[in-house]
Amino acid sequence: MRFSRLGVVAAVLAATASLAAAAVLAPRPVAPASAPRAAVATLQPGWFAYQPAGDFESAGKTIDAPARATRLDAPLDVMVEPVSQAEYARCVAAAACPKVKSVDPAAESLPVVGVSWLDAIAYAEWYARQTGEDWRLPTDDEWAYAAAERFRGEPPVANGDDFARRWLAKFDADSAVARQAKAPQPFGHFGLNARGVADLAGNVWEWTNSCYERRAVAAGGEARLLTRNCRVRALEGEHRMFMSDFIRNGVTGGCSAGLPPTNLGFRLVRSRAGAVARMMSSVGELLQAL
Amino acid sequence: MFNRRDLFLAAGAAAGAAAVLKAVPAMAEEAVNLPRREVELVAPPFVHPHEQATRRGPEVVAFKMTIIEKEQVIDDDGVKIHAFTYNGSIPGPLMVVHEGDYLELTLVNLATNQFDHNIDFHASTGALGGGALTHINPGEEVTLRFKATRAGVFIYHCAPEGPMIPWHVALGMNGAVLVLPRDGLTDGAGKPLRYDRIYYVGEQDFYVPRDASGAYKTYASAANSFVDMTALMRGLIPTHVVFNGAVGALTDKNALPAKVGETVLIIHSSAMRDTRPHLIGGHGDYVWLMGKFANPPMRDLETWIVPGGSAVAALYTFRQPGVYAYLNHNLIEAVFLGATAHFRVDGQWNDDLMTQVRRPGPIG
Repeated sequence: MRFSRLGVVAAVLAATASLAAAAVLAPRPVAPASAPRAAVATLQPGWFAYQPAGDFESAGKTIDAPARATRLDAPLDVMVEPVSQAEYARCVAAAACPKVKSVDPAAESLPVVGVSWLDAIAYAEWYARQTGEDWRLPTDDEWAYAAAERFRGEPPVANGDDFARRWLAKFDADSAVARQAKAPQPFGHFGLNARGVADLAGNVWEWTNSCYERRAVAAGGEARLLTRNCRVRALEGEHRMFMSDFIRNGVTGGCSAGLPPTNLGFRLVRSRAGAVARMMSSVGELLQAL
Repeated sequence: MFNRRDLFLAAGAAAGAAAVLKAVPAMAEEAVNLPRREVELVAPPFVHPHEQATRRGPEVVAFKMTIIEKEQVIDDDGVKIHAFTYNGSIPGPLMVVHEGDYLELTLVNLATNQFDHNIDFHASTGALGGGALTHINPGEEVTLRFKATRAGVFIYHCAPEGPMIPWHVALGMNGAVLVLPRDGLTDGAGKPLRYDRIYYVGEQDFYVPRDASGAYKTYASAANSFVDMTALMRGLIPTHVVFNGAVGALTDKNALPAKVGETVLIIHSSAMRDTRPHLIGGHGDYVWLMGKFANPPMRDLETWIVPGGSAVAALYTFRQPGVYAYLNHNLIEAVFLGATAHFRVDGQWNDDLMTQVRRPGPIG
């Protein structure tokens, strides 16, 4: 079961004010300036309102993902910065990661970019072996929790009968996103968020472990999984996108509209010892759009 | 290689050619006694206001274009070229007249420019399309008048000397003229065809040299790029194929607006390479293949062809709202090289024309 559901209405309401509680979740960045080990921020358990990744339908119509009250159940460590070019280069040197273009082995404070989900997974497995710790890509909900006030997700569109109106609203929202310069920026350039995590939603979109899913929302609010495609993974950054797992540079063109992700990179999370494998649970759903 | 002396020698040669042409006895110029109208040009994809059919008699329609050499960003990665432009845009503006009118152009070559330029109108007759009479150095201007004897859409482009010709055109110096029949467009069987909107799409191939690491090179000036760029051009494979001067110039927030029920005339020019426009989700209701209105339009086309060195007109009435990609249907050029535009069409969806009978979902 991907999300546990308790159906507590009070918790749902409390969750709408979730980000107000962010200050309570004190960031605890560990910051060794030049150590080969990544600096880590520990996320404390808490509630937040989360719109899941994927396509949702209700009564045969596409709808915005319903916001659901979601809880991080146990502390989660997240890399303060994305994986650097130097870190990725060490994995390549160890013959554990595929070689990619434009990686400077001396660049300890520039994010690695131009990496696919498959590259990121190779790095995560290597890094977990090196450290003996449970490092992995975050799920989309974990990334959203870590991003807190920097989380953008998908802009609300127009739920309704007319498919074309919804399409045009999404086109307009996608078109409004400003283009960013492509050159990777030094760590810290885009600043820290309220949880002590750096450079979220800058010019690097980050791979998550979440697959593309289609769900149908019933009248009672239950979101039933219809299909799942794990060759396509959710990317988070200035806006949410889905991308095939082998792509290293996103492009749009032809009939696809909107901006491609400027750069593809990633950061890892680490489950604390004793924590359950799935860190997130949710309670209820806010069917705001129905 | 490009010093001022070479430029003046080239200009001298051009002046000589002009003198020879002027020496030929000229036919009486009918234009001198006609009414004269000055028209302000508008940057593409838009087109200056004009009548589609006119009751007026022939007149002199006067335009002014300034040649501007300038650095221009041509893609999302910020790649820049030293572009050569008519009036600051790639393509240059669309000039609209009616058959039998006289198109009069004053062409200005800014003193701050580095190169000599001219203009060859495919709509005109004689003197290399006017190219032999319009050679101007930086700091000069010239006025040319020609009679629009054929109805259609025709390109114009810079055509100085030798290797300068393809180079200037590859740096952006091309545009189009629309010569409408005096009674407006018809289907070829007497039915008038009118449009609510007109857009001008100019397809442009760019050839930007790369360094040893594969990164696009930048140059201090256009002249400095000449050797590398023309070497690359000889390979005939562009690095960019774009609409209206840059990747994304007509997409997303620059999408071309229209409404369901509106009829749009799309003018598509390509100065050098053949191309094949296609409107994804729509059609060419009427397409003047080869772009000349004395020939009846073809009906209901899915994709049409624009031979390099020409322009084509396609008429379409939008029937469904949504986003339409209008692109070069060599999809490699459309997606990887940039040749894509979007139409953004408002209106009410028509379930009869299309409906999703069953949403995507599990098999069975």
